[in-house]
Amino acid sequence: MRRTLFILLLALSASWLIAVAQQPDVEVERADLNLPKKPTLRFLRENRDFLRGQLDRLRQTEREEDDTAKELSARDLFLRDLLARIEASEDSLLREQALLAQRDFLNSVSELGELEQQLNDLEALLLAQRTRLGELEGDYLDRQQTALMLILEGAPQGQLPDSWIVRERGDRTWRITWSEAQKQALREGGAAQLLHEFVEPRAMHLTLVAEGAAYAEWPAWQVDIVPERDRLTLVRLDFTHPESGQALPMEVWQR
Amino acid sequence: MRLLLFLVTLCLAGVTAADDWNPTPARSGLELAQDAASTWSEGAYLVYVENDEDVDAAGHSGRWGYLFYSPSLDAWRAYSLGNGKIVSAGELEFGLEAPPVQLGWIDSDRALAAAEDSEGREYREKYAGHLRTMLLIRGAFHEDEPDKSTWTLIYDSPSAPSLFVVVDAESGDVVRKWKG
Repeated sequence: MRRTLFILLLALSASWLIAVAQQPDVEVERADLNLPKKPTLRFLRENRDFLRGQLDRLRQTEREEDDTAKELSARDLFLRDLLARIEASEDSLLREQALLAQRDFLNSVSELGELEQQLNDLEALLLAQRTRLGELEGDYLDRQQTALMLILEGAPQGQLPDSWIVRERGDRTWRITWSEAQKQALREGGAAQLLHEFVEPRAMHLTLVAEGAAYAEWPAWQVDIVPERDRLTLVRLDFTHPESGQALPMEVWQR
Repeated sequence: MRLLLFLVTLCLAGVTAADDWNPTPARSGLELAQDAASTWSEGAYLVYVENDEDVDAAGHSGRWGYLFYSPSLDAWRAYSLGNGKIVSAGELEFGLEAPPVQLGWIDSDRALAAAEDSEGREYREKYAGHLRTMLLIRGAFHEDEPDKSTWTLIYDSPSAPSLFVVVDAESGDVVRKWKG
């Protein structure tokens, strides 16, 4: 009897020790949401009827636009000048193309010289085009708005999700469905864009949900980022070996 | 006793950390708020500004709320800015049919100085009052020139009706006062 009791106690202790050993080592923290204690626009919320009553007494009339010429911005002038230069280059290019088309074979050394001159002219046109592209890129970067691009790279050995839902906490939701070509690119080790949007320059808490039979039981992935103002923030998520309940490895950079 | 003091200190640290806002004038967050609003909706314009934290003697607040309206979306979106960042953003659950606030409005420090010189300081000293709210809006409170944007400063006191002081947001002149 005593032996049986002893063995039973031993077995219970052993199972308890195993259970303790298998418990994940966790640390519980309170999430720091850094939310202010006071809500925004309190007077407006508490007295909206009063404010609306004040505004109800008003009547708005639209002012008529006058016909006087408006001042062009420096950017408008730059774009007009760029367009004029492109059109001029186009004319030159068409002329060079026509001359080259007329040429059947070289009759003399002087024609060789003419051909060389045409090639030089074409090269000059190409250089001018590259310069214009550089100017356009500079203009684009100077007017960069805050934007976010999520890129997914890799594909797990199992099936790729049929679609994705990207949800911003308390705000917008996007559904993304990849084409077969995009999925194939992922399977071959490439990357695919998940999201590309203009966003507000503030902390964003995104939830990524994979849709599809293979991911029905998987929890959502959380992605927390702070897009830099007036820059494109790129986030590359490694989807090569996704694990249920684990964050996706992430790399963030700006352009 | 030491343990109690330690626990109390911990609690206070938690409270102060959550309210650690650097007071600034109202225009300080305007550019960032406008930037965010443009991303939300091209053509969104500012219709209302209010202090989200208490206003100090210099007319500065730790957080300011900015409300924008989008004609294309027919929606209103509010941003609360503090410490140079957007602390919160969200669409307003109700509408406010207010016209766009004109550009070049005077900052909160100048508006407060005008209100204080007018009757605000006297009210605070006489009735142990304090400034509760500063709000910027166009059309709602300027009786003679409703097309103008105004700062309205609201003082409260436990022993007297509230004092409202309306300051022209372009000239900085006090244009109206009342108690109620």
